[in-house]
Amino acid sequence: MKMNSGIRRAMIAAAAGLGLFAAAGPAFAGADFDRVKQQGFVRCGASMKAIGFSYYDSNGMAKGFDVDFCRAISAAMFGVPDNVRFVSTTIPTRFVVLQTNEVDVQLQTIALTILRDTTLGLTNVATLLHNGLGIMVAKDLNIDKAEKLDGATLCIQQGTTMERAALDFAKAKGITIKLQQYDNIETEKAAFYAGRCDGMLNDLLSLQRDKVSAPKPDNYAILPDILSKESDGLMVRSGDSEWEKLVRWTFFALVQAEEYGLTKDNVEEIRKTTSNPDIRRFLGVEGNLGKGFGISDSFAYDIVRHVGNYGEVFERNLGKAGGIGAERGLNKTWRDGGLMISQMWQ
Amino acid sequence: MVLGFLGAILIAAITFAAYKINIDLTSRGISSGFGYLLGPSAIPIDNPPIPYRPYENTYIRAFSVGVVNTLLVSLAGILCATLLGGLLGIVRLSSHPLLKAVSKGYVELFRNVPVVLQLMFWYMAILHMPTVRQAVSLYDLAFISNRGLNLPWLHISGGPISVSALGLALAIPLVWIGVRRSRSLPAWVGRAVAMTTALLAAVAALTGLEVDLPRKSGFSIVGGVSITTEFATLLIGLTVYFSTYIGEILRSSIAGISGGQWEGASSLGLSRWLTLRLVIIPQALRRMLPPLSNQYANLIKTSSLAVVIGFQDIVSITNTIINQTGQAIESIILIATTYLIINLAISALLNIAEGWLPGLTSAQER
Repeated sequence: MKMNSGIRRAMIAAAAGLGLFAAAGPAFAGADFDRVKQQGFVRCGASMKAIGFSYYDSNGMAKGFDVDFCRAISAAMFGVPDNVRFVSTTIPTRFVVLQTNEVDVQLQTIALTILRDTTLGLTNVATLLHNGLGIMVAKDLNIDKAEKLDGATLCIQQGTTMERAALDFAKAKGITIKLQQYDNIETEKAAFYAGRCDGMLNDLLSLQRDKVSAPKPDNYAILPDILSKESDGLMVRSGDSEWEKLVRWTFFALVQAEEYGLTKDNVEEIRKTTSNPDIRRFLGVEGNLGKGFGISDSFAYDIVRHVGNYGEVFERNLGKAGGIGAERGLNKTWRDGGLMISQMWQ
Repeated sequence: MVLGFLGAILIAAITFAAYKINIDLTSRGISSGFGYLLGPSAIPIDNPPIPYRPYENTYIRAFSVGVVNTLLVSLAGILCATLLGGLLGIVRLSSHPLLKAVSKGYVELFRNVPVVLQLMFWYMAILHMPTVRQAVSLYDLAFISNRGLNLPWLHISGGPISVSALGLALAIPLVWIGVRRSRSLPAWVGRAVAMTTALLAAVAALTGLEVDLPRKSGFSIVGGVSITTEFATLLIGLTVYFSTYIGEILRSSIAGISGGQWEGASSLGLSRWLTLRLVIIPQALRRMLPPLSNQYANLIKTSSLAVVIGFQDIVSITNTIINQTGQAIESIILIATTYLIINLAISALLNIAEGWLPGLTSAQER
């Protein structure tokens, strides 16, 4: 059969293209630590639409609990908190952006689970917030316990661990609840305030925030039941343990700083004047705690100097100062009866 | 031969891509394969149209619930949008200035605002209706509230007598209609069929049909059948949006019929409405089918916006599956294949329908 030269050339090009395709090996994420160091900034995934956690304020500045953590990582790596880029993610995309190397660390409220740790190619780094699943109801329903919600309809965000937790709770108590799932929190809240659902399911910290921003906050109550615990934390890609450890020790630095009583305002002074050997080592005046990472020995000092300690980060964003008024509860330091404790700095 | 070669390249490329993706995923520790679909599902689905219980059924069943939901709302949407669109198209042709203005305004408004916004608008509007505890009752037979419309429903609870009576009552008229097409029957047959059917229906009703009335109980309304707010919102939103396109398709295909047809009809003394009904629309119908099938496919795909208002269609349920199992790629392939099959089926049906219609004259084909 006679082929004209145009078609023949196209076929050769297609075959060559396929050959190139075959020659490329599997694409790996290289060492994340080296890449972050080289690119000069940390790419953080966060919702950027969640008041208290990650959002842009009226001046366009990024604020929030997750945002402050990202800044802390930047302070640890580069000595300054502003080498950060935020990538806005949603519940369906929060893992994918990390898997495909669009962000270096994912901060958007992730409930850390065994399946997420083991089947996604990602790693749970640390629990930033000990949280739990709770329900908010309208006070005029006169419900004081979650068990009394037999037959009720609850609004829930779609695609989270909350669905399974709610079903487990209902099964355990022998009640049936209907779950109305929504893709975005704004529609969900509008539906709840309009009475479409009898209650709203969310983690307790978010419920506190939603109650405060409700049209009539006094009409709503958060039930005392905790349907299930939730360890909210951050994740990185598996395979680079250096990066994972840097992120984890950034978290430990924030917690340790609070235990030592170091704040954003006093750390500079204390660094100059203290004779406490633990604190001197922690702040890098002596010792070589940054050696293992190849970063400055005073990386913990840089973190506290620019971001503060864990308690400050919490209060500033989620406490009364942040307008949400959440209680620290289990997120207090171990000395105060909470679960926040750092591994040792020696 | 060229086609064969290109086809082979395409298949090779797809196979290779799948192979490479598999290597990528495994090297990153991400599991792959479709086996996860057989696991127990932890997805809560309210009012499932087919039997479904979380933990007792698999993800495949959950996905099927999504498919049924999508089909229900899409088919209802196609029906309503076509009816409303047909009406709209005819109104657009009228020469009355008020009708022209109103219909043009309707079309321009709903065609140009993004569908997502329209859906949210209808949803917020319906949410403003009374809450379920203050539901408006229609003669105590039905309730309407911002959770939906609750209507009475029939259950067949009686034994074999009632069920078979009902079955016969439905089957006999259909058989009669079928037989009547192919040969003419004496008049008494029709009367006998009518009486027998009525008798059988009465037997069925008395022995076993039960009316299930909705009633307020606990937190909401139980009993009967309910059309949820989300289903209604999606149906209204899709109908209103697509009726504008279908109306325009009708209008343009009618306008495309040559003026000679109108003149010929008026010379026969037919009124404008009769001309439309007997002469113009039958010819326009055939021309309309390809763009109509396009709009129907669009409607089915647009129904995937259900997730924004909380209606559990294919996309909404698959999102939850992805979150619970982490298998994003396989799930997206599943969604894409399902929509492909549904849309191909609709196109095929419309192609068959096109074959039934009177052909175009050679003058019109040009």
